[in-house]
Amino acid sequence: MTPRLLSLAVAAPPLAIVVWLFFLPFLSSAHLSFIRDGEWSLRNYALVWRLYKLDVLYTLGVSLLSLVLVIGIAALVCGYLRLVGHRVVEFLFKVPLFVPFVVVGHGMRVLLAPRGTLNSALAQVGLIDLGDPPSIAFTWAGIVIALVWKNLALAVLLVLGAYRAVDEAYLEAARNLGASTFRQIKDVLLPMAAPSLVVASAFMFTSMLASFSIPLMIGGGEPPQMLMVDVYYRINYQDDLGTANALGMVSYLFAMGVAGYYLRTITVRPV
Amino acid sequence: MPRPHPGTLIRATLRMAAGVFVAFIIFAPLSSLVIWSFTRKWFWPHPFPQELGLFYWRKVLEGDLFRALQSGFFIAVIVTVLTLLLTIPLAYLLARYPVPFKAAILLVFLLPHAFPQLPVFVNATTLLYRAHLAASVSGVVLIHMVGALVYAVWTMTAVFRSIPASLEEAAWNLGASRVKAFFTVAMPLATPGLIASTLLVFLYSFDEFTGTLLVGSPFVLTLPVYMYRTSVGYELQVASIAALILMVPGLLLLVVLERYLKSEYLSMFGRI
Amino acid sequence: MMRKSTTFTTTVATLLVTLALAWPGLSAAQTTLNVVTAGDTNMHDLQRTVFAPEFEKRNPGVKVNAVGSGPGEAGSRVIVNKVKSQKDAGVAKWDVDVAVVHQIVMPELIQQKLVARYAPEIGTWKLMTAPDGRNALGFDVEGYVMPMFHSQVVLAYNPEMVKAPPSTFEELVAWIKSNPKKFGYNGVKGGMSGVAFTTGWLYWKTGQYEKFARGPYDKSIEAAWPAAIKELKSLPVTLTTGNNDTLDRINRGEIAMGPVWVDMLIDLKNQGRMDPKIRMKLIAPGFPGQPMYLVVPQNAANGSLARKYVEFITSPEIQARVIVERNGWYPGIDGQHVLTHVSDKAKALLFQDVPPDALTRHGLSFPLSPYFKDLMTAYEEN
Repeated sequence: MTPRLLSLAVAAPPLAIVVWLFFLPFLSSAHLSFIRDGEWSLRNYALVWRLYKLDVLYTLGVSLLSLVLVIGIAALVCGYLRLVGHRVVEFLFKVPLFVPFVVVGHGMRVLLAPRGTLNSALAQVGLIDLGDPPSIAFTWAGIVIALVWKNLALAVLLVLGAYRAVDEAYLEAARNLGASTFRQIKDVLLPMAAPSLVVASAFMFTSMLASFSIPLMIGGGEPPQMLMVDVYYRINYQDDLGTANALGMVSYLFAMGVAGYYLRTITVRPV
Repeated sequence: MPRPHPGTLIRATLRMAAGVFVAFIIFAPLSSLVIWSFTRKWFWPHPFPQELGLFYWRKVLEGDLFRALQSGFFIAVIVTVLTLLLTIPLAYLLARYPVPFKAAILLVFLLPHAFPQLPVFVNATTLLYRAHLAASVSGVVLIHMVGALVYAVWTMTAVFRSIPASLEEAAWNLGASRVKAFFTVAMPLATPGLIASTLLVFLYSFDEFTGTLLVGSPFVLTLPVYMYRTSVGYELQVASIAALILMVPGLLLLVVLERYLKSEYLSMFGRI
Repeated sequence: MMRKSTTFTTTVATLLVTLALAWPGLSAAQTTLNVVTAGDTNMHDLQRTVFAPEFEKRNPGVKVNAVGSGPGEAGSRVIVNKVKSQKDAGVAKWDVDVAVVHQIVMPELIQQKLVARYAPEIGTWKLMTAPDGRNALGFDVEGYVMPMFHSQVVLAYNPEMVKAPPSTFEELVAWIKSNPKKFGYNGVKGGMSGVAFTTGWLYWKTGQYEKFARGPYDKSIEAAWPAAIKELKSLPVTLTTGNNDTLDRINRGEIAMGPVWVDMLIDLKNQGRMDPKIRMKLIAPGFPGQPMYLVVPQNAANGSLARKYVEFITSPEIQARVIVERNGWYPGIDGQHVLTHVSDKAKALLFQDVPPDALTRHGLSFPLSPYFKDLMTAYEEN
């Protein structure tokens, strides 16, 4: 067998799994989104427009806000870790990497519910009134906090890697010109690490957009909802594959935009 | 003894405060789980549990939780073995030979992480039903592999690439066959990367939620799905115990292997 | 060199086979009866920890594999999909032997010939007299189902926060308006207690319970819904995420009152997970209730054993000891056969908050299934 044939034969089984259980279902999802009552129609999309346009905006808003927070915090924290260093903090930020999404959802819910652990603790020092406690869980803020907590670890890891790759000589020069820690981050580290930051953001944005277990566990019962929760309810409570797949298509479109951006970035630099 | 400069003292205090603050942020949700797992009774308006104890720990260890843990572990082992078997030869070829459509092949494995999984897996479940594989261990193993392959393929390709081909060429020159050179030269050098892939794939499968929820029900129960059901069922103690157990393998790996793993492997954990 | 890789493959294959054989259940020599239960975890725990061990003791060589398919109707849907896929695939023996399902999936189960008309063949058939054992949401299910128990949606409230509980919808609305955000229910997407509340609201607003519950289906009487739903949605309430969420928030004092299933509330109290002071009330004109049905799939692998299992669960002895005495639920078969076996204490507890006459007057049915479907969409759109 020629190496060419051999390599294709070796590649076939794992590729077959992805094609069979991801690519084909993806196509079938696209197909079913145009089927209503057994015939071709755009009614699923009409329903999405009528019922879910707010949810689409909400999902984009929550994801964007979480992303901005994650990247902003990571840029600053990593600057501190790169320039000053703090081994304990650096280690702590790796912990959420190993905590599964479902656990984050549940932990945050127990912590942030109106009478959750946080409010109970704050009430002890008289900061809040348990008779009318503020609720963070079951609102957009709960979802954002949970997503930021989980993704911050990944962001810190990637951004710190990029910062560490910046040549010390540039920082030395900046320091000689009297630049503060903040100025060194803003004017030296951030611009030089920008390309890796963009790739990291692209991935995190898709993962936030597609987050399912966290909003399912910490989101409230009130609309608007995150898109994936809508998809799940459409299938499980209404047995409505058409609308669920139309909602899925909307999410694919956003993901495709992000993926296109990612592809453009990596074709400039080899994988 | 020279007195410390006041500025140093302030700085040390600030550093400590930063450490404590970050520790609080990281451990706040996790510590709530610990409190709940030991709670026997907690009614409003009491700010703290009225009764603590091991009651629920004893209860879950003989119940469904243990079953879910067992089957989840079993599935993760199978997924890991199969994934590595399928991907190591492929990764080696991709790293060493001018395989046609190389970039495209690598990107295909990334697809399941570049698109929302839930709506796709809903349709995958239908396909698995047609193949009589839904609600069975085989179906769950397959749906886990869809997402897990990328970790092994990408990591192992990078690892093989980082091993100089000249070492194997030297072995060929000494009369070793290509297969022998692969097993005696390339594989030993790739061991750290192999360990990383193994852990990545195992953890991905052990923590996988969406695919298992859709494909596995009702007969296959893993720990994340069990935890989700008990959490939305407001069995907060049971769910918290499940959550704590679910974190154990990951945290063990973090502590033990952090120094051995390169950060590019670590970064892949973030997507679990 | 080929030999080496063959050895490797063989080793891995052996490893896999060993793992598979060591796996409990896969290699069991005895008969395994698969019982799949829709609903919250309490439902399948009951099968697993109470019914299964007892049934296994009485039938040596039988192993009951009780699994849950997930909370709410979604759980019933999983069961329908599972059985239907095996029928579509032409499998001779289906792996679900007994299923516990909600009313809503019955039309599909029967029309698609997924379940057997088994009930008249079992000994307890004659003891079952309830109308909803023959009719589910206006659909004829006679012979296809045995109710395992009946449940009812009621208002649960915290007497420390609700001094004078309402006894009609009018009083409830007044209370909600003067106690904003303290009444909570779970919409129509998060489980049946919220659906029941919404349905009760529409029965009250339209006053046409008879037409909705008995038929015939007439879409024109839905014209009054949008206004009624808009009014419901304008009330200052808290929306919870599910049946359990409503209960938990009542338990934690986050809300003071909300619609819940009697069986779930009592279950939590029995387990010490619900504040014992929480009370229940069934208000006029009423809320719907529904039974959980025991069904046997058409080609169940262990069909006769499955019938035996249903007979066991619906026997007066088990109904009295487990359903009423242990769980505090309303029995699935006629009460007169059951209550004689029940202690006075359990009887008092069963009817403490909701006396039998209130149950007769205010315990209603869910509407016919076409109305039911329209209601779900109408709620989301208005």
